[in-house]
Amino acid sequence: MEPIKSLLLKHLRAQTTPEEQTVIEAWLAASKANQELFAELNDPDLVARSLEKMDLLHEDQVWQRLQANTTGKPPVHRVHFLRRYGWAAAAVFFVLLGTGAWWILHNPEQKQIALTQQQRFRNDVPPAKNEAVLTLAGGQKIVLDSASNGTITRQGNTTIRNGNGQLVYNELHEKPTELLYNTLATGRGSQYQLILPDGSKVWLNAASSITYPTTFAGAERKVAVTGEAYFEIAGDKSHPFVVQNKEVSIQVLGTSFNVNTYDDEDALRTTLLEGSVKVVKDHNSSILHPGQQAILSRNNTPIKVIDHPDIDEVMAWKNGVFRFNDATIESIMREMTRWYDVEVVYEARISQHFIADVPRDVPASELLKLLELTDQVHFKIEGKKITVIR
Amino acid sequence: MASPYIDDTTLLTGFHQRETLAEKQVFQKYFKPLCLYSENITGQLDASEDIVAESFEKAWSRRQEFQTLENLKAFLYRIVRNASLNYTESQKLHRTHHEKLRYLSHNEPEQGEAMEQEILRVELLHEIYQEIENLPERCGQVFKLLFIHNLTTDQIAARLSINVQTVRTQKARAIQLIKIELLRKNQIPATLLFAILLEYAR
Repeated sequence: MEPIKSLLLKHLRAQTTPEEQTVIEAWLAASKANQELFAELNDPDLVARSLEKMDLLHEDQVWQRLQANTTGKPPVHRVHFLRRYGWAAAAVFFVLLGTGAWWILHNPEQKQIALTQQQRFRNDVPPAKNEAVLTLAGGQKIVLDSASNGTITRQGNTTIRNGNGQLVYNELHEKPTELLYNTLATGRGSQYQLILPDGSKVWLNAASSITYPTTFAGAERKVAVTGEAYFEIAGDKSHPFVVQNKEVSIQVLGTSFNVNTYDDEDALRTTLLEGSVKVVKDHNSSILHPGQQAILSRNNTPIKVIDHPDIDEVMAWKNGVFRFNDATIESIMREMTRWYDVEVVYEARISQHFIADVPRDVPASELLKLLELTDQVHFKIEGKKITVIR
Repeated sequence: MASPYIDDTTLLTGFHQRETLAEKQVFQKYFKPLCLYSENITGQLDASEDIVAESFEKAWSRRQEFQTLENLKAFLYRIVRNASLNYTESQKLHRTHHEKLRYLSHNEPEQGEAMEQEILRVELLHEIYQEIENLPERCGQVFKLLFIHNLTTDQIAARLSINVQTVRTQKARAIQLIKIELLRKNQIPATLLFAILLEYAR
């Protein structure tokens, strides 16, 4: 960003230092046009008029038209992968259970908490890193991190390249010799990306794993997952893609979807973004349409399909944010456990629900501080233990 | 991690390799400000949106020529400007925007400078727009209808098919959100947004 632009933005946020203010004044003195621009930016009515124009634009439609016209492919609808968190939008507040009414809290000092935040947060916990362990067909394990970039090994007729938190399988033009299986696993506090030999992309959330052949030889392309993963499957109608989990099987054509199979969550959820998938559990199956979610409860009830899940909430992890929409403190803490690799202890029962949009790349204390702003819950951090207090 | 492309270089590489996410990020970065820029010449938002859409197609077909994002941006603004001027000529739309047009097209030596100035203007307005966009959905809708489109609480309730109380609630929420956001960043509020908020919070 050119200097004057960032300075003017700072000015609008009333953040400028006296020195920066001097620079702005010099810029103002330089031309009448500068003064006019400045006056416009400080006039709420004029700004609102321009904002209204931007709001009337059909950005999504133009984007789809551009996609269709430049690739020859039919336009596709995508979720907002790139929701702009550039300025680290973060906000937390809570819903009073039942009424759903918002409570505006004016005076955080009203309530006395025995210890200050500084005393309660003894240390901080960094967010998840790009780290994973790759297990080769022979059982050999390779730790993947930023230090292990480049081509790391070969499996049958496939080379494996690692770089920037992503593992890529490249098939060579040779006959496959035998079927070899690899497993990519993330621990708590880590995540990874994978490109399979057919070009399908997989994003692996923390505490998750995927097992796959190093080359897809049979009629089906079959992989097994635990934890949570998001798939963008390369289209190949003659070789259906199957995602297998110990409880459920998901049959896929070219498509994008998210699978959440964490054992500590109340249900297994498959959310379809594009294309079509069939969720199969024993003799029971459901076909999903884009935007739908299949919920498989742990208590063996039939597959339930809902039409309008909060896609942004489902995809938040992949898009680099925490999004809690009317979430209980327990579900927020379960996600923190996986992402920050921490233990959680409850010293209080918190019945309020929370709504929050927070970037994922912040240390644990940032998220906790935001939750504390509601004044409904407080925390202690000691090493890797987070205690929930009132 | 907020987006797959951390800096301009990786974004440009992704764009060169036709990665959809990179293309979309580039598109979103420039689309709205370009439309606003064009609208200032044509005075017609719909026409400007079409002009900008076509300009993106041109840029997409020549993607390999851009060595930096700045090159791409300069290209986009240049062809949007030319197409907007041509459109205006063809439509003889000189009436309302006559002055501005003359300034843009005939003041040759100052032309580059005026263009820079106009780009700065639309980019700043886009930044402000994005701050509002970052509000959660319903809250952002209410905020926009109220503060940008100047609708009354009753009109918003009708528009969004929600009751008046919910509109009030969301309005309060928007205000609270922005306050918390500013608090988090240890800032005193954006003078602009805050002025609007205070006005309506009463």
